[in-house]
Amino acid sequence: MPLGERALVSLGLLLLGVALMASTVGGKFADLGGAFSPHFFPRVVLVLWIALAALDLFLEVRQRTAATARPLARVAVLGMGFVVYALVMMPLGFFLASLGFCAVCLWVADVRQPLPLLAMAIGLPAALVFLFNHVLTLPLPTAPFTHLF
Amino acid sequence: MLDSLPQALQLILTFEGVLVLLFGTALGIVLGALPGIGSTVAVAMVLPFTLSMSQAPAVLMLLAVYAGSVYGGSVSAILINTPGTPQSAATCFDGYPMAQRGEAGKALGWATVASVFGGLVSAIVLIFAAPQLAAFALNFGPIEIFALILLGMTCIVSVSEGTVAKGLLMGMVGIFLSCVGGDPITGEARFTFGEYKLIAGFNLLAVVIGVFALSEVLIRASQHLDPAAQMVDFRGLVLPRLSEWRGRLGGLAKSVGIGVGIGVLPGTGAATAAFISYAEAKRSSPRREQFGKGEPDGVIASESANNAVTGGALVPTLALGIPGDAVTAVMLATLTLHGITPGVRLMQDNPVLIAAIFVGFLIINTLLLPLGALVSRLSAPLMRMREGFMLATITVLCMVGVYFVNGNPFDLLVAALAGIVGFGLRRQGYPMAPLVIGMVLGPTLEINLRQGLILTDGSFLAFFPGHPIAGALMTVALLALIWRPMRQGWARWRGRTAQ
Repeated sequence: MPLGERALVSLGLLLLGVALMASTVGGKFADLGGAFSPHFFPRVVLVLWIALAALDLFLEVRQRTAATARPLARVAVLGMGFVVYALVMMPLGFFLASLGFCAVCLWVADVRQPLPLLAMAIGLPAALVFLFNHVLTLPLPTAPFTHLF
Repeated sequence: MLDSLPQALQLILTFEGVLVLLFGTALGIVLGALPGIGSTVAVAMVLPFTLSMSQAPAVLMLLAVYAGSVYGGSVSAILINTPGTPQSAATCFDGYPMAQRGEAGKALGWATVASVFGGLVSAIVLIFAAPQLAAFALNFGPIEIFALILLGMTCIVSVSEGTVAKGLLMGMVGIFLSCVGGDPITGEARFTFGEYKLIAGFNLLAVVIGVFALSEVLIRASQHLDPAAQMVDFRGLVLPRLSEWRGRLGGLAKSVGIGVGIGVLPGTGAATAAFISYAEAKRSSPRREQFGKGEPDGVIASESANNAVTGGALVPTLALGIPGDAVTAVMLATLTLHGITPGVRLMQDNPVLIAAIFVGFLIINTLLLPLGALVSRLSAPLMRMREGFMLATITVLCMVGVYFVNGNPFDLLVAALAGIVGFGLRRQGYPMAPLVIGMVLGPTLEINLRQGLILTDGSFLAFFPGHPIAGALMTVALLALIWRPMRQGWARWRGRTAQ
C-alpha cells in the first residue's frame, strides 16, 4: 500500500533526524565528555526528534489524512523567485534585484496591466533605496556600476 | 527616589526633553514595525545622535526608541504576519488571524492598550522596586534559568492543539536549528558539514520571517487571487471598549507580572517572556479554545509581557551594571559614553538622573497610545493595497529586514529556503509556532542546562536540592504539561459516574 503525501513527509523528517544523529558519531571534538561535549545537547534533541517523528509517521500511516490539494505552479515560480532574488541581490544590487522580483511576483499575482506593474516594480524598490540609502544612511546593496542604487 | 521627582521633572519638561520623547517614541514605533530592524538596530541607529545631547535626553532618546520599537513590532506581526522583532512572534498567533477576519484595527487596539499597560506597570515597578528586584535577580543561576526556560517550552504543547506530536516535533526541529554553528561552551563548529557560512548558525529572524511571512506569501499565491482585492482590511487602530475588558484584566495583570519578572533576569529577554506569558494565558484563559484562531487574550498576553520586559530589563542594567540583552548592552555603552557608571552606587550618586530616566520611561509608555494611533492612521492607506501589490511589498520588506540583521547575504538565502520549507510543512499540517519557540528558547535552554550539569558534576537530580526556585518552576512546568490531560480525564470520569 503506497504511503500518502503526509506520511512521506513524516518519513522524510524521521530519516533526516536519523541522518543528523549519525553525523554526530565519530566527530573530531576535544574529548571533554558529558555536558562539556558539543554534541551532548544536540543528541538529546535528536533522540526526541527521532522518537516524535516515528510517532508522527505511525499516526499518519494510521490516519491517512490527505493533504489539501492546491495548484502549485504559481508557488513553484514564486518559490524559485525567492531563491533567485536572494542570490542576485548582492551581485546586482537591491534595486535591480527587487525590480525583477516585484515584476515576477506581480505577474504571478495576476497584476498584468503594464502601468501598475511597472509603477510598483520600479516605485517600491526606488522608495526603499531612497529611505535606507539616503535618509536613514543604512545602505542596501548597490549595483556594481553605481553607488546611487 | 521620590524626593528627586520635582528636579527630575524639571530636567524632562524642557523643549529638548519633550522633543526627544515624542520623536524617539514615534521613530521607535516606525523602526520596530519594519521587519528586521528590531530594537537593537533601532537603538544602535540613534546612538550616534545622542552623543551631542546632555545625559538625561540622551538616555531618554534611547529608552523612547527601545519602548517604541518593542511596541512597533506588533504592527507588522498583526497586519502582515511578519514580526518586526522576534519578541512579537507570539503576537502573530492570534493577531494575524484577527486581521484575516477583518479585525486588524481591533487587534492593534488590544495590542496597543496591552503594550501601554505593560510598559506603564513596568515603569512604576522600576520606580519603586528596582534595588529589591535586582537583588532577587541575583538568586537566578543557570539551574533556575534552565527551569524557567523549560517552563516556557511547555507553551509548545499549548500552541500545537490537535497536532501535539507534529508540534513537539517542530519544537525539536527549532531547538536543533539553534544548535547549528559554534558551540556556546567550547566554540567548536557543530553540524556545519564544512560550510563556513553555517559557523554563525541560522539567523533567528531570517528563519522566523521565512516560516511566518514568506510561507504566508506562498500560501496566498497558492489560493485563488483576486487582483482587485485588499489583503488586509485596515482603517486605523480601534481601541477596545471598557466592557470588552471584562474577564481579561486578571490575565493582563498576570502577563505584566511575567514580563517584569523575566525582564529583570539577565539573558532571558522579551521573546521568552512573550512565549511564557502566551502559554500561561492559553492555560488559564476561559477562552483558551479560541487561542490561535484570533483570540484577543493571546494578543494581550504577548504584547503586555514583551513591553513589561522593557522596564524590567533596565533593573539589572542600571542597578547592577549587567545588561540583560543586546539592547540594554547598547544602552549601557551609551551611559558609559556619557560618563555615567551603572552599578550599585548609581542610584545613590545620581538620584535626579535616575528619577528622570524612570519618569521619562513612564511618559514614553503613555505616549505609545496617541503615537501608535497616529502612526497606524497614517499607515492605514498603505495597508489597503491590492493583494498582489501587498505580496510583493511583504516579500521585499522581509528581504530588507533580513539583510539588515547582519548584512549577510547568506541570511537572505536562509529566509527564502525557510519560506519554501515552511510552506511545504504547513501544507502537511505542521505548525510553525513551535519551531520558532524552539529556536528562540533553545540557546538559553542549552547553555543553562550544560552549565547546570557542569556545576553539579553531571547529575541532573542534583538540580533540585538547594534550588527551591528551580524546583518550583519545574513543578509548574510539569503541571502545565499534564494539566490538560488530567482535566480531560477528570471530565471523562465525571461523565461516566454521572451516567
